[in-house]
Amino acid sequence: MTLENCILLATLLFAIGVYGLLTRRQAVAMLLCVELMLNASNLVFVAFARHAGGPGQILAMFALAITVAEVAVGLAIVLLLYRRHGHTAVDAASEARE
Amino acid sequence: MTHDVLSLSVLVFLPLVGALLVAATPKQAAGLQRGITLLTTLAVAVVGVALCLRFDGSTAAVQFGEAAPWFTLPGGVPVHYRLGMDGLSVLLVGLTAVLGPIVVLSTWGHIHERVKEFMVWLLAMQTGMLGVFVSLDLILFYVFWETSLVPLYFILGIWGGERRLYATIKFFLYTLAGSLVMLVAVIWLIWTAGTTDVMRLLDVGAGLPLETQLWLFAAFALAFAIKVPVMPFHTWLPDAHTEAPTSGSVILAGVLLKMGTYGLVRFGIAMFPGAALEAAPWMMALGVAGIVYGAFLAMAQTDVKRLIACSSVSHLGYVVLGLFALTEAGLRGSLLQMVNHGLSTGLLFLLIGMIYERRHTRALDQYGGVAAVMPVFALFLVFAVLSSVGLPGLNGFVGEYLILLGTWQASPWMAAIAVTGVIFGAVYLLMATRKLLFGPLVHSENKALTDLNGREVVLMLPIVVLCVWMGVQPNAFLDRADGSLRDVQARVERARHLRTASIEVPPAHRLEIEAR
Amino acid sequence: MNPDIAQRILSQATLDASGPFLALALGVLVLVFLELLPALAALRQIVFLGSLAAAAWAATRTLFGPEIAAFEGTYVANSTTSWWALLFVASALIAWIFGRRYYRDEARFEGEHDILLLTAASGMVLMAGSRDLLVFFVGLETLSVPLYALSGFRRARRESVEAGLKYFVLGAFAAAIYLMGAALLYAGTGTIALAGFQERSELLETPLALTGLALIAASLFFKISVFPFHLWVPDVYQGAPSPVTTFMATGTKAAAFAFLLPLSFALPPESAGLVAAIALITMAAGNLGALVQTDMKRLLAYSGVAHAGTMLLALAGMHADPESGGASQAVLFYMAAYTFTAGGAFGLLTMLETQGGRPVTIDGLRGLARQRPGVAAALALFMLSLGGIPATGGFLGKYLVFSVAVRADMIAAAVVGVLISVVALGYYLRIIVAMYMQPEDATRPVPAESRPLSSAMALACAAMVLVLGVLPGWFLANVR
Repeated sequence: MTLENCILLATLLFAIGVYGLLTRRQAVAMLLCVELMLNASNLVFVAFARHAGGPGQILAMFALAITVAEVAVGLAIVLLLYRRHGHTAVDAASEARE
Repeated sequence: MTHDVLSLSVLVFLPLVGALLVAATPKQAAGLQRGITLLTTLAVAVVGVALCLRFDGSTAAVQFGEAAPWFTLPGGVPVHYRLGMDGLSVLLVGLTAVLGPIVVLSTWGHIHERVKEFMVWLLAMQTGMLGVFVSLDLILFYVFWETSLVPLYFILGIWGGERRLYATIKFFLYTLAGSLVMLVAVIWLIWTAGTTDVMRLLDVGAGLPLETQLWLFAAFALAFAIKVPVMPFHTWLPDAHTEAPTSGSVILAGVLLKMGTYGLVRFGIAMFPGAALEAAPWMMALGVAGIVYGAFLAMAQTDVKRLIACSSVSHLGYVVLGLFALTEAGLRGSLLQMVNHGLSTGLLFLLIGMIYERRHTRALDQYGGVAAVMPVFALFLVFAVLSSVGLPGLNGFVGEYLILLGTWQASPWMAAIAVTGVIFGAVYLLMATRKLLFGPLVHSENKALTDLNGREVVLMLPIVVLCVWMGVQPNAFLDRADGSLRDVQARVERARHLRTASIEVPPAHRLEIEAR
Repeated sequence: MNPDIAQRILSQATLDASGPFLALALGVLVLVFLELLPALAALRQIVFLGSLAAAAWAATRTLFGPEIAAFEGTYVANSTTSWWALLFVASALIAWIFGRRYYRDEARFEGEHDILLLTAASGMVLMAGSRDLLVFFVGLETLSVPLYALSGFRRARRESVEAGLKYFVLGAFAAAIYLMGAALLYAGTGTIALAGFQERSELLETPLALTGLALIAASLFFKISVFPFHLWVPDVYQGAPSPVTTFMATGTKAAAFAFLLPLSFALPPESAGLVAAIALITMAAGNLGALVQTDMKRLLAYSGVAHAGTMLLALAGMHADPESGGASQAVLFYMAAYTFTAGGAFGLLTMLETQGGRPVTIDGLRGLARQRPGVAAALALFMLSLGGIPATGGFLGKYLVFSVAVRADMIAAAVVGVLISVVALGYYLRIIVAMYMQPEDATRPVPAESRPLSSAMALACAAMVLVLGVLPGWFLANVR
């Protein structure tokens, strides 16, 4: 796969993630979209590390580890909301809704 | 720094010390709080008057100067705690100091709730006002200028009338908007000049290119014009006056508005004389407009207090007119008129407050024939009105005469319009007096009114004495300001000369600026 | 491990540089250990405070010295980062003290609360000192993840958990944007070190790198709540537990600015106008939003947005400012004043909320001056400082920030900025009006317990606000 294709794929993934995040209201779906965005950047890191060297692969490893921790906490909150309050919808801004 | 008891630091911070003392008293001890406040303001009056008497008016030099390093702004510009008095501030300092105990005494009659807080704010207010007049560091001046808003905000907002909240916020936001635009100009000026010393900034300002001067002048003048208030910016004043308690009105009319006119002389005309020359016709026009418009407004009022507030707009129009005539007579007259207005309008507000305390209305048609039941009150009121309309022999006359003379030299037709203001002024004030004091006693409530008591008479006596004294011997007061006024005049003449000779900037100042 | 590398990394300089972070991280570890031994619960507070004190002490050691670079230049300690570290410590301390006895249902999780708070503070320190996109990312996540949990800490309360979820989703979104930005910058320049960007500044002009920079700026704007990324702020600030809101409002914003300042050299000079415009719009959006609020936390949240806009104005003027370091000093001073002012204000609200058992509204503050003159006076002082009235730290902060704009010849922006800030006084005054000028709210419960610790903290904040306003000489001379 060429570098251009990698970037194209990453951009596509990122765009899908952003789009999904802006249109979805279910927390789990939004989480998945964030994952798409994160992995798009990991793809860029890895692709460029392969192409030009440098610390790209290490970056990708770090990013993976850190975002796993992030998502773990996030899922815990989603679960809490679901168990206690029976829904998982997120309103980005209540002011805009009113 | 000197350790003389008669120093400006003592003068400025004595009220604040008094405020802290009052704050430390128990809540219910109203008598003690009033006592401390009265003693403090008396002490301030003594120190203030003593300083004014010691002041040498023949020179423009700063006297009783004090300076101590305060902090350093980025760019290495040192900011100082710098106080000093010159001819422009001496009379206003005296006025502020003398009005202090009078205002405190007047509160016996109308401040019965939350006395402690009131006294604290009153004293804090005095520190702020005195600070404005004697700061000779631009940052320090700005700090005093804006902080002095806060005490009045509380005085108006807590002890004011029914629509006080509206009036308070209007007053605060109006004046703040002007001050903040000035802040940008202050920042620019300090950055360009590399100093915050007002006396040095006067020279730097005069040396700036005309266009720059005009911008800076506009920013400074806006802040001061709102405070004065000059005509299109005056709408906050009647509201604030009507809602304020008597003592608040006296401070507002007596001293606070003078901060605006004082600023116009020192930071408008003296600092940017070139721009002042350019702007003079416009400012004079605004002054005249204020005179006439204020008079018409006053004529239409049925509320006595609002009427006097509108007359203030008119009277301060004279001050602005005289200042921007940029002639010797005009400047002298304006400076005198600032004090005159403080005294006579202050007296009027005190009197209206006293009758309001008895009758609880300010509507003109509720009165009539009051002179019969309150002869002493009538006497004082007639005196105050005569002083205010400029009867020869009293203070108002000298100021107005000098202003009109100075204006005539600069622009005869402006003077002609302004003279009509004198006539209108006499008409509405005398008409109001007639409605209030004379005629038949139609309202039965007025029959039971008691005349002024000893406290009320005593507190007004100093003002009466000063009014007569200034009317008979104006030079005793004006002499103190002469040195500085000549200096301002010289700055203006230099700028005028430069303009006609079309030389842009005197080389010395230019080099100083370019060196940065 | 290769002894050579070990020697290079574990030097005295490294210890000095990372002292504040190490102190906080060690504190976290000890606290986690203490959680295992319920018998030692009494030690928790001592460890927490000791860790903050050690971090502050470590920060003062590098306060006046030259810049120390550690970990191959990816992390530095200099005067500025040390001041930031002190500010984070202060922010954590304020939040912690006002948070005492705030939690009722969650009281048994207080140990976890302290751990999360300390972890977040260590993340802030890491963010301020990082000179490398990866180290910053680690710091950012070390800050954010505990804050997600803290926002939802009042588990029984729906609004708290919802605030936590909202903060998490948007925070994760910002993190993803940041990571993409970092990836693109890396792709464009081949490095992730700030020093590397400086060396290869010509590569920053490429579209790839510019897009990356824009994405990173956008993610930081999320954290400092700049328009149009500010919409989450009111909801999250309102829903989160009040002590956490205090911490978010002061600390998070400061940490994002602490990194934005050294990074901003990479922004192209042409972007100054755009940044200034964003700053002004943010100020307007914050102030206009606050004008119509009735809930105090929400109001202060919007006010915080406006303050972020004001500080951004200094950033906009940074390039053209002939006084090098002026913008950095202005933001640091402004943020310090804001930390004590907003920290004190949020803190007092926390106190009133705890005692009253319900959220504080403007109407709920009516007549407070009579019932509780001390609280009202302090809150009034904080409002005046937020409004930038002289003799308070808020004024001088405003003066310094607008100085940067004026020096950078952005006079028009400065004038518009000050006029927008007049609007702010409109709502700050409303609060003072309610406290001092309106009749009492008869339904307000009388406080059952006195809170000496919170009162002392409020007093300390008020004193700091006044000191920064009246005697700023020492700070101005030493904050660079």
